[in-house]
Amino acid sequence: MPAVTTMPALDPQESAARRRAWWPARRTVLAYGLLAPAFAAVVFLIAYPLYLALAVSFREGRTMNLARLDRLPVGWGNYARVFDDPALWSAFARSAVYVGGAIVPAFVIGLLLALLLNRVFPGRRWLRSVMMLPWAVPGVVVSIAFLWLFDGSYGVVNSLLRRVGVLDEGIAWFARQDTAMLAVVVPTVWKAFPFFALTALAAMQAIPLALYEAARIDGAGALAQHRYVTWPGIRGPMLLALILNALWALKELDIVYVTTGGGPAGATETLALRIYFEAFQYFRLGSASALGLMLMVLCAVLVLLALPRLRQRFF
Amino acid sequence: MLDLASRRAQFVFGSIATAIGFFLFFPLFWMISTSFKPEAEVFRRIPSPLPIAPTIQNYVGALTRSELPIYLQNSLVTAGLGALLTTVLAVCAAYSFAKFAYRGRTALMLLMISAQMFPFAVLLITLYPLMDAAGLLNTRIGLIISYIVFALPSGTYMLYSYFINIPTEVIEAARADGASELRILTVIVLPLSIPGLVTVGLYAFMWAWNDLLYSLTLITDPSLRTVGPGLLLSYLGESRNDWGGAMASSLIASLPVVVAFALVQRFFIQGLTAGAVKS
Repeated sequence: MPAVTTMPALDPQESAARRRAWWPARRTVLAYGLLAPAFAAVVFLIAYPLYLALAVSFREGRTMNLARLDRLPVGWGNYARVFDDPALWSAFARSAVYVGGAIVPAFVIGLLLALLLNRVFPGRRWLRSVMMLPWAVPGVVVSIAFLWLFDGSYGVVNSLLRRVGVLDEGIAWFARQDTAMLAVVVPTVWKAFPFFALTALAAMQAIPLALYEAARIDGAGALAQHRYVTWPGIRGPMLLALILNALWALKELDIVYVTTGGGPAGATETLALRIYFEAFQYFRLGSASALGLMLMVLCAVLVLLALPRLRQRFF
Repeated sequence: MLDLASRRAQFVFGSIATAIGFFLFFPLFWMISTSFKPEAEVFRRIPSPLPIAPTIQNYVGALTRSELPIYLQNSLVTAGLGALLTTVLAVCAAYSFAKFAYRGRTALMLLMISAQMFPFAVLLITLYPLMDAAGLLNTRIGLIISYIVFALPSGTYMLYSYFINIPTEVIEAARADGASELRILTVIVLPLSIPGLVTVGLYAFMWAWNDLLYSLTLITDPSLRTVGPGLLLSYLGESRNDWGGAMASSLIASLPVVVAFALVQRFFIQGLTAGAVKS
């Protein structure tokens, strides 16, 4: 830079001191500046939409246009309507069944798989990667695959069940009121269990072998070792995984939307799906927002449960 | 470690392994198998496990006679640029969090990480009219910007843990040599963090590629449609019986994420499980 050459030579120590003097301010500006784009994105994509949802939930009427929102009357109407609607409570119940029905089996399968993989055998690393595939594959693809597996006329599940004599006639799993929930839970389990398996496996591998050694010396059998060494070692991470997955399943839309679209006759219409329909099928922005905020309260409760663990993990 | 001394334990574990293996692999196997079956074999009351007369017609059809190539192209553009944008923003934010001290840093970081907790369906309710007002509805740019939301919080955190491990002495030394802050970032910090950058980029790419909801809602123009809604609308409409084609298309559509996952899985599994080990 030409300016530098015309400047009188400074004592290096003095120049460093001068620079340091105005550094904090400049560095702080830079720090905030670096943060600004990400922050702007969070505001535009998360914070402002949330604020709007709150504002909209107190506006009564039907619109998808924000400019026209001001003309709608203010009130608790959306909340009143939503709470009075018996459909809300059944959506709640269905969400609970869906989340519980998906998370508990996924937990058990993941745990068992981790126990199986937690030892040395050829191809273990390969298997550990491959088992994550369901987690990585798009939800739409998982949904289409299970629609085909459970197809009423030519699905292989029906064919296998007929062969072993469980069924006489094929069942249209996704289309029947009594089986639709089961049918949407199965692909959800399939997508969720790898996460549990991975969490359990990582936690198990962090348990010092000396602990097992000590337990054996104390006369603990295989089951006792799991009860008193493995389980305490993985309990914390697995609890966190349980909460994170419950959160995920509570918000999950892709599988239910693609496979049943909430049907038949609302049998699989979870809270998340109901919110989506309220907004994008009936264009009731207000009640959709009111419902959405309630779903968020539910999520917040789960997050609060997870917070001690999350803090341990992140900070 | 499990002691498999007794025969009974061996049998029990063998059965469990078989059952889980079947549950894990059978859907994948059936997709692949169906995708190579001619139509007559797809519609058999007692299907054969493997195609009797294997054919690649389902794949040829998906790539030449359907809209799939357009969807793939759109997804590649939106997910690719979305991932790039996410990575750039995450780098800046993570570097700010990791190497600068300022007021409100911890609070801002907590805010950033907790941003991940909000249900996308709820955000979408008001993001839609917001995008509409901004004139970004039905545009690639709108979708690309929306995709930032998926991976920015976790990407920022991943890179933060990367940057925090770069010794401050290295940065101090460069600073003493008169390097500007941006130069330090681009010449010293980023080259040391390439695995982290790639992981975050591919992670963001996977999320964006797998998206259904945002694309389905924010894009209505068929020429801009991405793979998620594309698959849904092509194979689950009235003509929902081309299962061979549906499986072939689904497998093709999964290929990019599977490749991305294969590339990052080592870092990724480490990252996902880092917390588990710590506690």
